Amino acid sequence: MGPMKNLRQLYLEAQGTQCPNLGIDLPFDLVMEILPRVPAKSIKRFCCVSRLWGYILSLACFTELFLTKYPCRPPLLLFTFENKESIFFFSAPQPQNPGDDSSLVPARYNVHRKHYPKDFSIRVGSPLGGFICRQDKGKVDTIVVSNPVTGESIFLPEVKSKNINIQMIPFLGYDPINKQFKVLCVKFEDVPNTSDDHQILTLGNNKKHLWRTTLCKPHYPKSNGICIDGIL
Amino acid sequence: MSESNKKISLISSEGEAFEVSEAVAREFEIVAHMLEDGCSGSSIPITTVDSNILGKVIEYCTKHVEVGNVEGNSEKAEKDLEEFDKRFIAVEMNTLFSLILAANYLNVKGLLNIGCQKVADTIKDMKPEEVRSIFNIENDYTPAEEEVVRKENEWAFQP
Repeated sequence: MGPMKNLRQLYLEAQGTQCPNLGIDLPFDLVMEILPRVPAKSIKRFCCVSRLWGYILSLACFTELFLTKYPCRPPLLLFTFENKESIFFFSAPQPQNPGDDSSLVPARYNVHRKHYPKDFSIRVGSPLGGFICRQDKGKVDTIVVSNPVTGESIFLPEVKSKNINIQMIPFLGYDPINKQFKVLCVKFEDVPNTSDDHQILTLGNNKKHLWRTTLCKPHYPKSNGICIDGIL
Repeated sequence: MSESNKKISLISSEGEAFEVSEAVAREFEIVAHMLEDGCSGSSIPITTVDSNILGKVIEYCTKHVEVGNVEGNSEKAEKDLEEFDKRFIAVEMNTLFSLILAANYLNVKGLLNIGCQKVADTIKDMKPEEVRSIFNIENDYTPAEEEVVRKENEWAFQP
């Protein structure tokens, strides 16, 4: 079922129970023709319009419609740097035309300093789907997944390790089949530089986060890793 | 071609007849389908669209057919058409909604597209209160509930 069909179904169900209409002047399908064209930030603001809007705009199938209907949004580049005890995040639209100098000037910066008090990370993984995954400075056994645009963070349960000398590298991955974000934590000792302990955690809406160990050959991560179509 | 000389009457909800060339009428996909299905009558009732809006939609389609027929100098023509679209869609919200409804019913994809985009561009920086008044939506949150949703999405209210 396509996202629009799903949405229409859920809308009709909600309409019966919650409130009589979405918008008197335009039918639902046309409102859904308009809303995916506004920026994500506006969508979040419009959640306050009414109960039904808040419900519809928070549905996974609306997000799917939003992301797939007009995929021509310019991708954003994410910059980060650390200064003293803060991490700064900036986003800028990716220049679409390399010859066009003016598009290199970022249209808008997002500085999210206040969300990162004194706990700047040691390792920040490659961003994926707008999220970043990093090690907590205060507690190195803790991995934090953050959305730099909203400033929200979730702290994952501690990764258990037997040895204090063990280091770990977090990787953020996305499973396009089950539509789930997963965190892979690769642990390794400094000497010898091998790793045979890999733990995976699936991020979910209302689920309790639990680490599970996966058995595989030792890996020797050299970089922060990039996730493409579910393959890290 | 004799086809493009053929005239078709489109009848608005008030019963007013608008005579257009077949090429223009075919811009209305709903009419194009009727013609393909063998509907040979020269007058087609468009019962859900009033004269004012039907006239505007015809104006839009006529312009697009004209520009489509001009050969050469396509870049300038495209710019002209863009300018025309921009001016055409610069109307107040009620008219815009009526145009979108008509474009949706008559299946004029280009007009539906620029109409929806215009609404999206107009509302994207608005506060929830303004969006409510545009779409004529009653706020059914209690003040406490609304505060919770606002808090959850606080970042979206910051400049």
